[in-house]
Amino acid sequence: MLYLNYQSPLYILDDFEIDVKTINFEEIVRLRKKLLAEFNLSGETTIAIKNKQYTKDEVIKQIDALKNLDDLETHILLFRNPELLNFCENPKKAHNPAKVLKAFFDKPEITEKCKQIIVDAELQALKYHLNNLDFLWPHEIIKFFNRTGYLYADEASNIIDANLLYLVDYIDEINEDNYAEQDQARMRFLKTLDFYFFLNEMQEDFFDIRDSIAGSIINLTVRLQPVDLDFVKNVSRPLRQLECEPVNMQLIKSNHQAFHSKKSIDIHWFWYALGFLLLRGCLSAI
Amino acid sequence: MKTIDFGIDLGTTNSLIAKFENGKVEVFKNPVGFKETLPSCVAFRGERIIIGDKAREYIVKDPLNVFTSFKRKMGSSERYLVPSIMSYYSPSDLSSIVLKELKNFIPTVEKPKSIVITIPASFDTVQCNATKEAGKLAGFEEVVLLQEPIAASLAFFNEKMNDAESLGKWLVYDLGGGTFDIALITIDNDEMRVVDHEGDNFLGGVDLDQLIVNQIILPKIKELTGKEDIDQLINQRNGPYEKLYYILLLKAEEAKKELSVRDDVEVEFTFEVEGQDALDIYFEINRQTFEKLIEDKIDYTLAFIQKLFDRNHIKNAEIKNVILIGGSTLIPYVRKRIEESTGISINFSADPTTAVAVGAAYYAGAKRKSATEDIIETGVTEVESTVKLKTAYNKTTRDMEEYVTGVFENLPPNCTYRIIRNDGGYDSGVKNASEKIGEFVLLKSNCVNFFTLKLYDDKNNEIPLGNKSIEITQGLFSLYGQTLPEDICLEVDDINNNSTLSEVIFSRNSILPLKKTIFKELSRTIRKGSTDSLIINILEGNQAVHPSANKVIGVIEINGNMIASDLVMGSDVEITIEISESREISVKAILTFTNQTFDQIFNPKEKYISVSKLREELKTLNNEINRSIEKVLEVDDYEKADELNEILLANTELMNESGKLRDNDIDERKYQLEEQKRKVAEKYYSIGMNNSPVYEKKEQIQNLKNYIDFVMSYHNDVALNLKEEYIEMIQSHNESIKATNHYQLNAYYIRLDKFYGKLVFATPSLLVSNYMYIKDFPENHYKNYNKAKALIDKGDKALEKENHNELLAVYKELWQELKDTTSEIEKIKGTGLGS
Repeated sequence: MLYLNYQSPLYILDDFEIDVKTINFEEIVRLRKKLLAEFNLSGETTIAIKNKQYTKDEVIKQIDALKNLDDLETHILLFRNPELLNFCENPKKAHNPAKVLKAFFDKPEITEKCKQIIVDAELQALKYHLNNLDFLWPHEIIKFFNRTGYLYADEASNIIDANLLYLVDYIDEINEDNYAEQDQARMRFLKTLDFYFFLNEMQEDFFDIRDSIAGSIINLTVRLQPVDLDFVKNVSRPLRQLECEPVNMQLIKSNHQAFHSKKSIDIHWFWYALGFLLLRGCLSAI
Repeated sequence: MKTIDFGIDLGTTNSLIAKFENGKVEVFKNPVGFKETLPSCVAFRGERIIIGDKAREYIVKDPLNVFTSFKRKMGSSERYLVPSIMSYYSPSDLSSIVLKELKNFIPTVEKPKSIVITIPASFDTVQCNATKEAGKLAGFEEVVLLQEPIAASLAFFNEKMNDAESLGKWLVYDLGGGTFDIALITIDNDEMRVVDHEGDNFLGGVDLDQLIVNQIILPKIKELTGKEDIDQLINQRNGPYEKLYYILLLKAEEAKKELSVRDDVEVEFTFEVEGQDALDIYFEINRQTFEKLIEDKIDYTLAFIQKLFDRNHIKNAEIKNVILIGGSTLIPYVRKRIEESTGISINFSADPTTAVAVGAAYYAGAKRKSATEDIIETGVTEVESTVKLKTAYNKTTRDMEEYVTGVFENLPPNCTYRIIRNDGGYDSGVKNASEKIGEFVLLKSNCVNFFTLKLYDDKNNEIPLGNKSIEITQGLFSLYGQTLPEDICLEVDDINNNSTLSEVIFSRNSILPLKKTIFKELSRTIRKGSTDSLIINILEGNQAVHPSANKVIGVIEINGNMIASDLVMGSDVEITIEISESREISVKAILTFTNQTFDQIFNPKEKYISVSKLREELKTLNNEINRSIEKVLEVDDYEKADELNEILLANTELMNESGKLRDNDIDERKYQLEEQKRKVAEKYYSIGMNNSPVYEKKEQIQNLKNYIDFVMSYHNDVALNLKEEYIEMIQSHNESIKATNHYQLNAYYIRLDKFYGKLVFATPSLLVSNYMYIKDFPENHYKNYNKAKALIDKGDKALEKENHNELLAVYKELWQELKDTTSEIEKIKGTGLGS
């Protein structure tokens, strides 16, 4: 599926100080002539409009978008919300304006087209962040989808399904490899609460895969605890927040306690050892 | 504003040159013979080079030193040997000779330095670059390429249509001497747009001539001379019949032309082979035979029309007319067949021979010369007062007003300006001048409107601006620009599918020039000094297909030795890609992690096609399609199997054809087959068959499901709740197996596998048969055979005692002892760029 980022055509009007409310076909044709003359005059591939660079193709597409007067209301609604507009235009890079979205989506004047633009942006963002194992925004996105009832649109479901399964394989793959220091970077997401909150937002259809993920992480922590207890402890702490099948939840809890107590014993031994060394030092000094 | 004004139709069989002046286009005539067309034919007579009609006359006398149809090999590595001077010429060299000759058609002494040259719409980047090269070799400093169907449309709509008639959708059908193009055009609110196009670079009149030679003339020669091997040897370079081949092609072309106006035609030639008596051959061909002969080729062009309509969701009834362009549309059968098959009226009011050149001149008349030439050569922006003015506006328009803009340099303070139409019909009034000005000027209809821009200083004295006449022709269409014929893509890694994919940067039909900056993340770490590399591979073709089915335009490879430090997975690469109007592609990559820049201009002018490589590729594709058919049949996907069988048939035909090719063939068959191979591969990959892990997984799922089905019917101790669970689970089996994502399929597989585990544990008879099955595995299947043997002893005892729980415990442990024999799919190396 090819997603095309939404681009507001209203920057052009803004740049030329044209009131969107009064725009008509003749004015749009005049605007196009002015813009195309700019290309002709500069001889450059792009021209700057409101600090953005546009190619001739982009200008023509934006003008075509303006010609569809039925969509003007949608463009205006988004243009008036800079944070939301920035997200729709750059869904991969911009912050997800969760709060703004929540308030915006429920307004009675929001058009279907507007909703579709936002849902498309959310899907793009979801895919991008999941691919990058970054779960802060996906957690918010899933919440958004749950609330708006868009979650089980085929596309969102496919993205989540594919990425969760990828995670199972990914964690299993790390588990099978010989552990190396740099693996910690690959597994950083396991130490974040966002990851488990994201999994908790899943609805019933995904419970099986969530349980598989839980199983994979349990296996990983058990295997790594003799090698890197600190890391395991950092994972096991937020892991307790994961809502999975009761057997696994119980296992996570008891493992966490075991890891914790092991660490405590180690610390006791450290103090004993230190005390012994100090004592020996004192004795030899005498 | 200085415009290019001159346009050339560089055709496969004929070329023309035209000029736009005062709102009209003039096609120049050859000063010798006063014909508008110059046959694209070059003859070498010792040191003398003869071009055009005279050169064609030498085909019969000295065919080995005469060259035609070289446009069909533009952009190839092919070289033509000229025996009379023992020199090699490239297709670009020969084309440049034709272009130089066309310059001589211009009656004035001063020759243009900028030119618009037309190309088939389906020319790829390499062919475009080779054409530009020909223009440069002919002495043009600036070469702007224009797609032929666009040129033809400009000519047709500017010369033949009034406003009311032209509104709507049109189809341009351009069957020329060597190439075929169709374009979908819309006219709406005085705007002309090229919506989409299709075509084949190796289909034209020349192919019809070859059909006449191969299917009619050669059998006749065989019949009369008994030379059974003539069809094998006729097109062989340095073969015994090479001279005859060129003569026969000429005879076939003459016969074809005559058959457009007569019902039958006589073919006459002398069959002459060294060391043998000459034989005069004479026979007749009638129109019916000819029409039967070309039927398949014409139907092939009609399939393109359907493809174009389907892609754009257009019904035949929506098209106003089919505009016919190109010499081959003069054949009555072509016209009849198009009309019969599409049900759309055909329009042949445009002169099929000159329309492209006329359109090229219209385009040139509105196309600004490159900025440098505008200032230096014309000098119009240089004024005595050191005030410089550069203006820009649309030189042709259907609107009644046009926007004129300009920038001043060294403008004194408090100046004013005024724009006046020379006939007094418009006056902007006196306005304050700033560095940049712009005015909408009113136009008089259907004529050339001349305006004068006057600049005044603060004392109201006129500052002379030289001859700065502004010239706008009302009543003519202009174009925003040309469209990109194919998608331009970047090859990126598709980690989820263990493959790479073509990620679109610019979609087909975007208006040139184009520029885009994208940010990609590295999909793997590249260590400094390692042999690992990051590959930026720019492709031309179709975004929906696997990269291997697209054409490579250029590659930037950044390896471990070229980087300042390790490039960590996830770090950004900023890639800027720019395409000029003449399709020159430049790529700049910035590695943000090391702050290094790599840039390159891709300007490939040649591609080499090896017959043996072509054969190998066709064979590989055949094997791949066959494997795919087996796989889809295993999962009972008969619909897809039918589709694949059709593709296999087409590919097998190409394979058979390629078997007859030789590296020294003098015709273009290998180029045709190469193009057709790409089309077959495109079709194959576009139905989602590039992804073998997907089908491997489907196969695993189907095998597992079949086995569970068997268990369900054979073992009568399966618990009822498991039976119900299974029925519920496989309700969506048919839907689940249709997935194209490897991981979605894996999710389904895991569900099935988990269920199977439950089934084994809860079904005693199944547990026993599974235990019996794995306990007989050979020694090398176990990690620790001694431990396995001990477990098997324990299991056998449990079995004897019929202790299900104990057997289950042994079975689980024994299972853990088995080695993992599932073969891992080898991970692809990929490009290093994430998707």
